Amino acid sequence: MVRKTYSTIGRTTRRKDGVSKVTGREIFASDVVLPQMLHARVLRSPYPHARVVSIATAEAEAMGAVCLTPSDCPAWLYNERQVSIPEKTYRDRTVLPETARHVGEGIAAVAAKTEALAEQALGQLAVTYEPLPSVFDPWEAMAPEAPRLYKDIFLGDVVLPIERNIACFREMREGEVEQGFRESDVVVEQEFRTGRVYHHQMETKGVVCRPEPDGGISVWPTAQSIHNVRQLLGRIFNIPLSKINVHRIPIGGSFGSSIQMNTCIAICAALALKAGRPVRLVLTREEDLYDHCKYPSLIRLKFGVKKDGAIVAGEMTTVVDIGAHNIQAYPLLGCMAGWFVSLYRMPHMHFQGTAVYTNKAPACAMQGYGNPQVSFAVESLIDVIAERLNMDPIDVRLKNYVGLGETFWGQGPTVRSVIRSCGVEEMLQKGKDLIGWESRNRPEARSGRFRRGIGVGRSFHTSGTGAPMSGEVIDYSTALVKFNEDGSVDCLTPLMCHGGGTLEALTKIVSEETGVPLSKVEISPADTRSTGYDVCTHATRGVYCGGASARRAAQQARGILLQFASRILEVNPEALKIRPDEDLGQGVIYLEGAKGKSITVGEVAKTAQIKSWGTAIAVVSHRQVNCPPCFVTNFIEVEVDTETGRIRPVRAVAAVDAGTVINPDLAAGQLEGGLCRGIGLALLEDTDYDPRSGALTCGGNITDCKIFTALEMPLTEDVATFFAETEEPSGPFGAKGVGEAANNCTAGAVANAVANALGLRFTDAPMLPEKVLARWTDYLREKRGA
Amino acid sequence: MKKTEVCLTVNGVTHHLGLSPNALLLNVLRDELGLTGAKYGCGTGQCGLCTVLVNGRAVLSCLTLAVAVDGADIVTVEGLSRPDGSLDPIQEAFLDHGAIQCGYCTPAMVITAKDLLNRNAHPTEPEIREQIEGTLCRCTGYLSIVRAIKSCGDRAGAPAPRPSPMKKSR
Amino acid sequence: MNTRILKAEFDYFAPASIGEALALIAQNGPTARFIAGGTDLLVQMKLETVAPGCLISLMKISELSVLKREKGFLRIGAAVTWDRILAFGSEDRSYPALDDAVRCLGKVQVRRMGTIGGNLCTASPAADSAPALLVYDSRVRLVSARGRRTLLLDKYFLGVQQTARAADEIMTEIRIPAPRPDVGGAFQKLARVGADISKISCAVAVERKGRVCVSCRVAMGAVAPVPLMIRGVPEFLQEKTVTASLLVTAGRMISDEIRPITDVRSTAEYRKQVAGVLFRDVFQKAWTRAGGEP
Repeated sequence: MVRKTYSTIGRTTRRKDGVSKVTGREIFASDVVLPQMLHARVLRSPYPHARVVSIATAEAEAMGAVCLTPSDCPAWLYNERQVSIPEKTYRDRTVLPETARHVGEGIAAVAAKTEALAEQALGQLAVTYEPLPSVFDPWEAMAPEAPRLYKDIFLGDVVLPIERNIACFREMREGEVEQGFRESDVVVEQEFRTGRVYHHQMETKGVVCRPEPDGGISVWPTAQSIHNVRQLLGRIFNIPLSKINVHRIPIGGSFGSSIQMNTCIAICAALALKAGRPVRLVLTREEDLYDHCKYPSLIRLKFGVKKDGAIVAGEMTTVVDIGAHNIQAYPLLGCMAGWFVSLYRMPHMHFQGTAVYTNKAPACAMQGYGNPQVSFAVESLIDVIAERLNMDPIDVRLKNYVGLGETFWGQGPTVRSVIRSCGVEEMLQKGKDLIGWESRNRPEARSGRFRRGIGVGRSFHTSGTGAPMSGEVIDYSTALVKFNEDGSVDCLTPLMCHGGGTLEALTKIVSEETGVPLSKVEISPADTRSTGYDVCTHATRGVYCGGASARRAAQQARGILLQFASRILEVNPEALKIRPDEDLGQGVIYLEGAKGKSITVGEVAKTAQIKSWGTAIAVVSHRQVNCPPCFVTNFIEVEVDTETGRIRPVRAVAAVDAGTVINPDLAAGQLEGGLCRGIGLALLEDTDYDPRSGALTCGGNITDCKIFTALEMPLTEDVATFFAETEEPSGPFGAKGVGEAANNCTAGAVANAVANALGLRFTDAPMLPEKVLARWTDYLREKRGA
Repeated sequence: MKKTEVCLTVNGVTHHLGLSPNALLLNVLRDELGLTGAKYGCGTGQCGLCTVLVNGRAVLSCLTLAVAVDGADIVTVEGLSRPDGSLDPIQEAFLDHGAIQCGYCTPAMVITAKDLLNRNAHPTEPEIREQIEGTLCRCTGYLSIVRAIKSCGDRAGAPAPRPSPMKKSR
Repeated sequence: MNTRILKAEFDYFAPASIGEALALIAQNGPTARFIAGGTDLLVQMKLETVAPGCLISLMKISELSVLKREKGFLRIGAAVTWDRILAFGSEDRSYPALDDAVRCLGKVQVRRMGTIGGNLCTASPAADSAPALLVYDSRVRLVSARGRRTLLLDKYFLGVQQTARAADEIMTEIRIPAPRPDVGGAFQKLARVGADISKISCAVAVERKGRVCVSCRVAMGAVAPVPLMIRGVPEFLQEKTVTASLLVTAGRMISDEIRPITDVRSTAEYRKQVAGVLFRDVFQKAWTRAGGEP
């Protein structure tokens, strides 16, 4: 297809926040300093499950510390994530709990003049605990005699009893799955696991809160949604939203770790309100490791297929160990079902998901929200089908993938839309050539100590959670665009950028739409008092949804500007166009084919101001009524050292169908970063608990829980990235998302590459050398025995 | 606790500070001098985000006692750009190669790279990877950072092309 | 615990001579500790596993930063940082096992800060320098108010973070005998990721004549409470013609000899399983370096 050409969209440019980031001048939450600011520390439970009987604060207070205990905090139960509609929001926690449900759960806090003083005061808090029996395994937790984490919680405004520690359960059916399996020629079934991965965002969560003289509060948090932080603080502390100002501040990586209003924000706000002074609370790494993790998965997956490879039926059963709080398990299960049904067509399907409380750090969203877990299972089993039918794995994929014109579940069963752009086939074909798929051998042809194998994995992610009807999840964005009196443009939006270039993309979208050169379009600092609502930068929605709202605001402001221009040029506004003039540093308004009928944007805006016509400004709240999938494909070659069990990724191709690519270098960077994290999910990352103490075996330090370093990645010349040539009709200038999609297919591709290398399939990630070597040794023994 | 006078020359400016022995260089830079480019990432020497140059050598400021570097010449990321605001070539390279995402590791990555380029004007890719192995980045997968550092050695003014299509098989 | 700050208060001294340092440790009582690069001790203090009331830095004592060849030895002052040893090694090339170890024992920042003496005083069973120094038959020199003494490194490690060094004793230097000609050395480790603590490590120094192993020394890290000299294999390989099957047997002997545990980094079973192959890899590298065909 022939791509449209744009003046700004798709051009590689230096990111606008680059200079401040590369010079160390970017201010993150942990860098914020305010006059009179106190430093806070949180006392954390050493027990996995214990009732806090009493906390004596006198000695800490005698040191001058402000102390916060559960009795100082509102009793209202909250859920830190505010993306689901209220009646689907599970509320099980308070600012400080009276019962600690995992090691590291905050139970009291202090604020003092220095961090050292706060640390000393913390040591003076005398706590009496009543340890309670605890449970760490989700299966044990579901046993009738197991210790219970909760008697009841709230679902919306309704009391919800919790039985057998089951936080929630979802089941979905389409067609008749049993009949589907009966009609199948081949049925394959396996169990898959992925680890309890720590987000490992490089900035630990933090916040600065300043109480205001009017009884309100100002907040600088690590957060993916400033508006949700405001709403929750307003509800918890009973402060009118008009008096709560949450500022957008750059975040040092998120990957889902700040999709919710992190608990440290509520604690810090309570401390600031009590102290009457600004308070900064920044988690230490060891606190952060006990704060959140990715949802681990245990998936039982079954496919029934015809001899020609056509999938007839699919069944997925999953148990998710959510840890001590139900942050977003209900939408997670819906999404897992959605990811499952939207990868490959299956006339008959059945999904069953159970989320279980245990006494571990709570799990929350992490890049892909169940999709890396589901895709790991599905992509692995698709290769098993190919092996069983003696088909090329790519052919099985091409035969069954959900593509153009078909229905896609963007965010569970209530968020569905029709696919209108699809680069699946293009990515498979081109990727196949780049990796050298045709020369891929069968495992039986390999010998020796080091064995290489090539695997493919594909997946997708939703771009936002928009749909024709409002469902279980809220989705819209608000943006303001205005022309300044010198011809430059401000764009104001509460949308957050996690580093991937979301706001960079918005400047390009606004530049393209207004005709003003990119050098004159800036994103304004944002806070909740000056912006309309934006749900959150999550679900890979920043560019597709946030960008669409900015484009609409730009369109409207442009219309006003052209009205002004028409008065000056005496031309009907409908006939006027704007083109960017980089030399002038201006947008130029002109009438096509008419010499002399042109004027710069700056002149028009200035004239409008002098003549008191007004400002060309528009604010738009916009909901996307689609959530198109951004498809991804990885081809990965691994080398397995069969004597040490070590698996090394040696080459990779990563491709995305993101529709029109707005920031090519940053989009490629998303693919590379996703590849690295996806390989980490497959080969390295997990967090283990000691069942005797309930503590992390790594002790909460990253010393033994590190992510990949630069040494583990393939060489730069051995990694290729590319974009499918598509355009999404519903996206701003044809754009879809990239973000989360980038890591969704990677673990599956790695598993398939390992299976191709060894002839032995690993279904439980991470594939640590210890596990690989033990299985390989058994496999050789069995082979020799047989 | 008894405070001792510590003299630190940071980015060319000499400071005489009264510090306790337990003051860590990272916290002195951030809290006393307001230089927040160096970051806390783990506090245990595992992530490298606190890296600064002490007497020209990249060290971990979270594991350096300020009293132990009395008299030292210290360069933080804030000191790399020139007084007129123009950037160091390594900073330009990071901008041109999309080597920045969230930006939290960027100051440390830039300093870690600078340490290498000061000794070795034309590092190979393995040398670059070994140099930055102790500075963690969760966003980029490191490849764009490696390309940026490599381009400084190559003295290429223009951004290197994106990865060329790889060899088809081996 | 707060890894952002050093919570505990302490006195700090940076004496310029050994005499001064010994006087300070005597004056400041049992909670005084010597500190060198600080990359381990300050972490331990943050994690509150130790709480010294006084730190005496050894980094300003010029005697401890000697690095030179002398009378059949290489003398490395205890306060010499890894990057200096690496730079020396890239010129000298007499101790390739040590160079290998230094290159992978930590990231560049740690090589700039950490010292050889500090690593040996911390005495982690996984310390990467230890196996390399062991196979070169290194000695450590200690000094206290009671006098000076020299210990074979092999006799120096007593247990997990336990050594023959008394708390008031300063390690002054490490002496490595000049290797005989035809000796090759190598070191390798297995770890989760780069710049990480070893799951298991191995160093070999081998003297060869053609295809015959005249003698060899083997040491392993993270397989016992101390960095471990391997006893059986050197005797087994002595004066034997080296073949692939001979090395497989030697590797098996090593698996049998080591006594690893299961911890956060790996399992006892895995360590036993890979000890042999790690030994073979390292031996091959050392053998090639000793000259001649692999």
